[in-house]
Amino acid sequence: MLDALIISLQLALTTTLLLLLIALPLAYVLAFVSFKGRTVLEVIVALPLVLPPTVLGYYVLLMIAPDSWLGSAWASVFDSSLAFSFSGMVIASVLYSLPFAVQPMQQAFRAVPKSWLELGKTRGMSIKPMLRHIILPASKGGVLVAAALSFAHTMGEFGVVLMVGGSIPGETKVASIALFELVEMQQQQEAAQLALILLAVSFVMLSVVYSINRKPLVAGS
Amino acid sequence: MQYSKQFEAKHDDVVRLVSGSTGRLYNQIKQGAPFDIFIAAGSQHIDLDNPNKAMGYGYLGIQFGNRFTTDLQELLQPNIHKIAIANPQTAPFGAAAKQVLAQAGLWEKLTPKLVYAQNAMQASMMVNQGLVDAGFVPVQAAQAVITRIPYTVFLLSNTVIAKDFYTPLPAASFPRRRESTSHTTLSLDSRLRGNDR
Repeated sequence: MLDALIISLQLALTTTLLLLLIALPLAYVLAFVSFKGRTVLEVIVALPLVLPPTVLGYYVLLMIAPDSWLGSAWASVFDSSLAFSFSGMVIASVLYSLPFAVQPMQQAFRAVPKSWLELGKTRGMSIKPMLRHIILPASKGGVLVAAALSFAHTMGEFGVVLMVGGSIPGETKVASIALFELVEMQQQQEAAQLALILLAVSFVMLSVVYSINRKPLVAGS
Repeated sequence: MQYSKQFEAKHDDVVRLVSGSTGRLYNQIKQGAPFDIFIAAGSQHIDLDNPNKAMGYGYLGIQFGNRFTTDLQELLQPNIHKIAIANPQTAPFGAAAKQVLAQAGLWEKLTPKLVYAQNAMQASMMVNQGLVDAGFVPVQAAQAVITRIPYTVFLLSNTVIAKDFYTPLPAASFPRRRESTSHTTLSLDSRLRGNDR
């Protein structure tokens, strides 16, 4: 049980860190750049919100299968299979929690006062210093919410990791799957403990999100 | 499943299959789920106090790509990286596979290669899609069988069910369930009750 919880935490942390890196440029583009395929990109980012996890799991499995381009490239570099590995689960989790990272950041970026951005522009700032000195400090709350939601959503993942992970103890068996198996085995006591822990984690993470949201996301707005 | 098709062909009726692990379905039945027939795999303790039951067997084999074998040693080959097995803790086919491996003294050696499926059909899917190199899968009796898994069929409802639906079948000829560990429960449409005889 402890094993599974640790794997869940590792998966959630890795996914959250990766997502912050991936979501930042995506959120920036969606917030500030208007281009032709923007709606399509927005829809793609939001898809995991409504897709059945099994659909996502199915496509991720196809994507990381040993005979796929990604799976075979991975195998030739790392000499191990991507399917049913921790890395494969990370890929699936990043896709699954993508909207939870992008959308809060995108909203926070959009809420940065126009005048601040224009001030930066008149000083001849390029994207990087603008992000570092104006946009990110102003949308710290949104970034924190993105991180907390990505973490909580990954902890609560079930259908996708069930398909992609292979439930290997100590490697891919996460807490939610361990709980499922405990119930199947009718080990009610352990199941109750694990369920309570997961409930507490979710409660704490959401409390963090709501307490951040209570404060104004953007200083001065 | 093939059996439900046979039944549907003979009778003007529909068989609704509900598949799940024995434990889960057992819980559902205990809580009053309206099933007519319950097929429970493995030798798990099923306390249903039901005299109307029959026995049958499911068969387990090892699949490499498109090939079947009974040679457990083949699993040790270095080019076999991942082996799919139904979860031995929840699926009778997985438990049977583990027992076979343990008896051959291979369980410890092969553990690092194992990938756990929810049931043996899922293990079969993993092999067929090339996601794993080999797997413990359900097979036909005529194929390479490494062990067999008993299952029990319980008639749950008091309704009269057509005699040819169960009694004339000797246990040995009971159809192998294609669902393997997904212990199929047949839930017969209530209309069945009227037009059986």
